[in-house]
Amino acid sequence: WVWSEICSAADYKNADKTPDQHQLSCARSSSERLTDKMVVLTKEELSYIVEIWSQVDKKLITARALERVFAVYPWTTRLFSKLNGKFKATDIGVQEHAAKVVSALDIAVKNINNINFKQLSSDHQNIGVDTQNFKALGQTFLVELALQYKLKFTPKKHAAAHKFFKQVAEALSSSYH
Amino acid sequence: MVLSEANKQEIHHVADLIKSKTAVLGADALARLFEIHPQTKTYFPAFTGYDATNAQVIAHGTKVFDAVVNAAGHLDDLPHHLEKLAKKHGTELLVDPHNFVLFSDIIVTTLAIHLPTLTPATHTAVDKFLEEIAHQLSSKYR
Repeated sequence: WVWSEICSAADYKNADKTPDQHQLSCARSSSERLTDKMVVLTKEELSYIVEIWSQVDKKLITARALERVFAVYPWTTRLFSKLNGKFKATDIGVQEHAAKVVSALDIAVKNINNINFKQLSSDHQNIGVDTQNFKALGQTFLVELALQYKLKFTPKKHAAAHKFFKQVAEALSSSYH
Repeated sequence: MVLSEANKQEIHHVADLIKSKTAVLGADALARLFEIHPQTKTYFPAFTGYDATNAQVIAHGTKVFDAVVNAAGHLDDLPHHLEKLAKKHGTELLVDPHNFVLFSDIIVTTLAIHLPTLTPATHTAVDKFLEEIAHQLSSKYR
């Protein structure tokens, strides 16, 4: 672990501390957040995610990722019976869910390496969502990014996005018990 | 897991599109695997590099994608067609089978980058096909 990578951007209020003081400060705040499962983005990866999220048509790409997850992994439709079989990106039910997902991702992108989805996670468990679904949607998001950016979606950017969606999935799973 | 006739058509179509590009696609997919899941590099300690320009990565990626294209020509007898490779992975190479699942996702994303398009229908067919390959390759371990 490199301490500068564990401290999220918000922790850079430590800028006036010596390296040792900074490290101690990060260690104290990090130990509360870090678990075996948690994946951490580097500064470079974090800035790529912030950049890409500001560039894409958020509602469009999210709706498309949802259409794709419903098509490729049909078991993900389990708790969406109210959508009455209408799972295309342009269908109203998918659009409505996409809007909610976009709001959550807006928060996630602003809080990379420190995403607090404790309540959202509880809500998903109460609804009965299998946490595997979050990984499935992460994968279809990656495919949508690949389709949009083609070769510009380099291995390093692909890896950054993979880590980001893994972190989101972990945060959404964090309250399950 | 059963491939429908529609699935098979999609798979044949994709195989046709990629059969002349297995080096480029294979190297890219493998490089992405090494970047996203660095633990997969442990199976290739002799490689001098792990990016898509490395000759060893290109050679191995080509081998993998040629095998995928070949398998597309045997959709009705995949277990038999893949038996030798399954034995090799299960008794000799001993690659953790979870890696086939990780690699499958990356192969799909690589196709999305290099093919003109990847509709949900094609994506589903390819995903099912790769899942079956992974299942067969995992079948001789224990």
